[in-house]
Amino acid sequence: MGNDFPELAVRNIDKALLNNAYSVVRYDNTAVTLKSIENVQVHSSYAISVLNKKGDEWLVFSEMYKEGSSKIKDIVIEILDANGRLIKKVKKNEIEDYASNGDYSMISDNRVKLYQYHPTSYPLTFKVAFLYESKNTMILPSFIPIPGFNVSVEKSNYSIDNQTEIELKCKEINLNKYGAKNNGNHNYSIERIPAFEKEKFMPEAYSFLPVVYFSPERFVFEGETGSYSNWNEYGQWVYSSFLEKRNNLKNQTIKEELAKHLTDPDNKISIIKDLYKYVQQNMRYISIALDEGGFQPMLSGDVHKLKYGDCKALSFYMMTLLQAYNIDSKYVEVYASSTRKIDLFTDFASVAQGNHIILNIPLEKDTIWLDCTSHYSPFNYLGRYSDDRQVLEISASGGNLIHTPGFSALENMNTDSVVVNLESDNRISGTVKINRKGLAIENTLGLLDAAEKKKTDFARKNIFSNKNQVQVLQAKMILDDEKIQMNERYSFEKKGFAEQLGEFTLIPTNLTDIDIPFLPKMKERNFDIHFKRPYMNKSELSLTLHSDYALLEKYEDVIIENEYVKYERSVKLEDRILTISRAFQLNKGKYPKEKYQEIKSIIDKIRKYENQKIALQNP
Amino acid sequence: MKTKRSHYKIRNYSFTKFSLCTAFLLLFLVPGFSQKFGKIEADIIRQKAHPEYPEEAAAYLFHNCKASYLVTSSDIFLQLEIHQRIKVYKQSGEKYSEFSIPLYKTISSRERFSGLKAVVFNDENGNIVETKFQNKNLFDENSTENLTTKKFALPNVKEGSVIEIKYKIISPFIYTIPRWYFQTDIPVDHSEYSVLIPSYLTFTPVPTGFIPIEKSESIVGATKETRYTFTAKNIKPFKEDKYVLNEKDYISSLKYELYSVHFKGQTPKYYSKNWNEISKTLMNDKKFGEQIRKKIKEVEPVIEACAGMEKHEKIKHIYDYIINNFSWNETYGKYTENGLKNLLKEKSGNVGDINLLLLNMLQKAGIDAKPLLTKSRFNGLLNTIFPTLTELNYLMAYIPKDNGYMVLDATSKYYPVGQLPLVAINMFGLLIEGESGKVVEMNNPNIYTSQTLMNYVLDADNDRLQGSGATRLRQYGATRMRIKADEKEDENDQDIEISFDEKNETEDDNELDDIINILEASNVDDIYKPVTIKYEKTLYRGINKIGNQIFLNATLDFGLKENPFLEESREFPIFYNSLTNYSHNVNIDIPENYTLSSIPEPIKFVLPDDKASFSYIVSFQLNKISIIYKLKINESNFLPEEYPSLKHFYDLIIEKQNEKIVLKEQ
Repeated sequence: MGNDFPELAVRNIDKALLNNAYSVVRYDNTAVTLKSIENVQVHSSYAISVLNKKGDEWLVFSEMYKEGSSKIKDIVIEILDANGRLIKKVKKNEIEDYASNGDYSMISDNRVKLYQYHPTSYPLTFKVAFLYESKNTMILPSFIPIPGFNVSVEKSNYSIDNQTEIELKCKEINLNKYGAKNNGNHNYSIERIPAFEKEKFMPEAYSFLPVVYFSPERFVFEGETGSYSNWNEYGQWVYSSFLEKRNNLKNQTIKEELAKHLTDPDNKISIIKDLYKYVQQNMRYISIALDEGGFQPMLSGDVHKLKYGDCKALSFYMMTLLQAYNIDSKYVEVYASSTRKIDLFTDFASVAQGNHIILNIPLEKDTIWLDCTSHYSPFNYLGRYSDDRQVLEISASGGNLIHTPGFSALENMNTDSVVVNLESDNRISGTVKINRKGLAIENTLGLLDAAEKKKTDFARKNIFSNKNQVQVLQAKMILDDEKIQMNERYSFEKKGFAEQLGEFTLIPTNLTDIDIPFLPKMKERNFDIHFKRPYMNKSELSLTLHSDYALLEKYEDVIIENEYVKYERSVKLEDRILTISRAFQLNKGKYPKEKYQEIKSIIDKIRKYENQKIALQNP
Repeated sequence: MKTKRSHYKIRNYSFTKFSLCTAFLLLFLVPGFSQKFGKIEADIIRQKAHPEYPEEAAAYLFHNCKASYLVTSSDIFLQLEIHQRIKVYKQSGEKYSEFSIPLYKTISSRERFSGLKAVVFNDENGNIVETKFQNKNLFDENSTENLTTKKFALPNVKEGSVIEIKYKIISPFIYTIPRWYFQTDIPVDHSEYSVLIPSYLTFTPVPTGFIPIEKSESIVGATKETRYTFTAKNIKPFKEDKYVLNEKDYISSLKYELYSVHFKGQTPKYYSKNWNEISKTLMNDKKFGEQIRKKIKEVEPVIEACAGMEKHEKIKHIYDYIINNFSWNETYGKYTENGLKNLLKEKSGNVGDINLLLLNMLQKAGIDAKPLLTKSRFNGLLNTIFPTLTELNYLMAYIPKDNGYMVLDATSKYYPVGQLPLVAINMFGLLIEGESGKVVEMNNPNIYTSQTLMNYVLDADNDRLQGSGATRLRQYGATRMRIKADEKEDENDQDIEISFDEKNETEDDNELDDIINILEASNVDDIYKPVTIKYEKTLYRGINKIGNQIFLNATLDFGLKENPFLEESREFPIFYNSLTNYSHNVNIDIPENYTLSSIPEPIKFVLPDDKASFSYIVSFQLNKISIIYKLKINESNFLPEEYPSLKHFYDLIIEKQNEKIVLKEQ
């Protein structure tokens, strides 16, 4: 075929880059040209060698664009064999074009160009070049040279050719760590980055990966010009472009219609609670991202009528309801994720750092936080999705960074108490009551209106350390909105709980699971240890025995306490009732990787106590 | 990847939301229950829970579809009138007010959507309030080249709402009447599917599932055509189950298969025929039979290379050539997509492409390989009573042997000759011999074979066992291990703090405090060899020292963890993805100062016809404990009637496994 690329032969990859690597970025060039305030072009070209099946995710070309405002053109995708010989050039009609609604959006005008290659053998190289052109200049691509775990990088280069007078703000993160170079003039490069593997309890990727973000001070978005150079101005822009004119409901209308929902119209907190309850009970979350939908909420009047909206629409609607009662609230942008807690940058304002909208209501003493997209979320509760992170509140006076509330270990608490009888056939039967506080309520919040079978299934799989031969017969769940607590009660039985060993009976210590983390054995720890969310779990088992057993030996109380964790255990036998109390607390904290072994041995010791069996002398 | 997934979501439309449903039929009016649009009794709006299934979040009060043909001066259209009424009982049932209706199109013709009427009824402080859907809130999505989706969400939906919706789809694709699902994931009080077909078209109705469906006929109009109406009532919601071969087949539905077209003055054209006719059609098709017969120069050297080989060597040679040189593009199909020439160039093709090439090469090499067609497993079972061409979407090669037969599928490089990917195992297939066809039953050829031998020494001072051993995985056991080794963790599984989230089931396996040190894993890359893993182990689990006695759980770290069958009874047949042949032998050296107090009794359980067996023998000799544990599952399919005995079989194993070996210190 003639068009071969011997320089991309896989044997040319430095051995040091093969360690832990499923794939290797051979080169990755991104050349951005800001042609005018309403035209940005991005020439991208990259080649990635995929070494084995685990690297298959890189054999996908998947680029998003927005119908009407951006395009993807001149796509060239070539497949090379291990020697760099061209084995396939992808034809235009093999690249598919789909509507892309992501996982959350019901309706949007985002589209995606997609091609996936199915290899017959490894290694091979996926070589891509394309041009992205957009009329929206608000978002410029970032320099993210390390695209994932188990990928190493030979070289990566990024540049912006700014042909306009527009000032570009930029934010560099962790450049030194991997020797990334700032070559001046918005040109960055990096070379020879070995692949790394995921580790348990590692820090967020953004805290160690080199990244450079850019944001133009003036831009065009969906035909309108805008500008900002800090969060305050960003907030002003969002407010004046997308919020100011979206309320078409009259205060009087709202007050007339909602009067019947208010229990105490003179009490501010009570009004907020009742309005929130009204929104939760009457409005539905549906994601709609059309035209400016990515930023602009639906008109409040439409939400009022249709009774649905996305996070922007529902938050904004709640705002307008509050306004009708002269209660001031703020529209808050947050990066929402239950798995990744990411702060908005303090010193760099740009669009798309957030992905979700919530509300806050500053009161004299306190601030109330509301997420208006959930039917179940208790009043003034931000869960794992938006807790404890830096966010931006937006109002007429502009944007302002603040921090959402987090929970301490004692506030994130699961407490269970188990009352059971030991039957002569080693079975136990009885009830377990669980009280969950703080983030722990989310373990079951979503099951509140689920069928009984789902609840009992959940309990069977999640409450017990060893779910074998457990049957959960009944489940009851009640959310205490006031205290933000879940109260649950399950009746259950477990066969073969006690073990008969000659004249002894063995009772496991850990009937219920108190979430002792598992730290695997590691030859080498590469990342620091990061416990992101603290929690505490307590359990009390009260086991009524059918006759006079005696403890074979005295079990001393166990207390292990240090900066990482706290564990307590006590075992008592009084009046035919065996009581086993356990508590485990994980503290929030970041520790250097050298501490891994120390932490692991503490945890292993605790796990050993948990796995111990209590021996009783049979009567 | 994310975007791709969402694309599948669109196409793989769930039967709940998009089911093509109905219009009202006066014939079936139940007294006091009106199906007239918008005529709803206040009682039902005030109803708090479904009378029969009070836990369900929503229910179809009725769910109807009327299919008929519209004839204009130049064209014929299929018209589907859908009419449904849904009651929302819980907030989680509000999703049934969001609709996505797929409309198919080609370059020249497209399905049209019209006449949408939708209303939501609520009880607001004792008054029934009606909210109409405004058509301006109806969105079109150009989902793919061949698919547009109408999307809309109804307003003012909350707990207690009753939703009513009615619309038409007018389709130029007159030969395809969509499948009608009587059963959905929520209860359906009344489901009715009526079909009026003009005399020049003949269809065969193909039912699935277990729900009784009533059929009635009526003669309508001047043309005296027959309208067939299928009705089912009080249909319970469909719930998933473990160990199921083919879920789709257990959902009650009805599909109309085109049988023939006979326009006035023309010769009739037959579509769904008998298996012989279907076979003949396929064998004469350019994209099927001709591809098997044609000479393909590019592969001739491969065929020539195996000229002198034995039959089984030839088969393996050709099969290996294909799995190593061609990859499956994850698309089903029985026909070649763009011809085998194209496959040879692109090296990647659909199931049809790859296995047509397999058939072609085998036949050219003198092997008596025959096409075997079926449905891909997750698309339902092949209906053996109603022959259909269109439903066949999977092709394999069938080779008779002296003592039976073998089936080959060359779409995956993980499977050696003789094993089949899970997606290809689907009970029945159409075997084409010459130009005639017959339905054959296919056995599940995959056997999960695992043999372990461990030697331990009891370290009584530290309550532990130390030793080494080896596990040998053969047949499907080795294949599955290879596939798993290549699987990557889910990239979205970024959450490192799993402890706070719902636990995944596999996590338990990692949480052993026991120490395993893998010494060697051999033959991981050669699919024709068993995998042998050698390791050292230190076991703390299952060992309890009390006073001067040691209690050993004899199954230590192996065996069944739990009885997978928890329910008292079972509705669907049980299907195992593979047969099982599992054996685990353990020897434990006991320190001399210990003697045996007791060991579990040896036992053997066998299910009728040797469909499954379990044997467990623990013995003690010369201060050595020997444990022999064997579990075999010799049958892939079990009937619901066999469920109780299968459940009991597992219970007995679990019980037996809990028995202890007791040692006493002298």
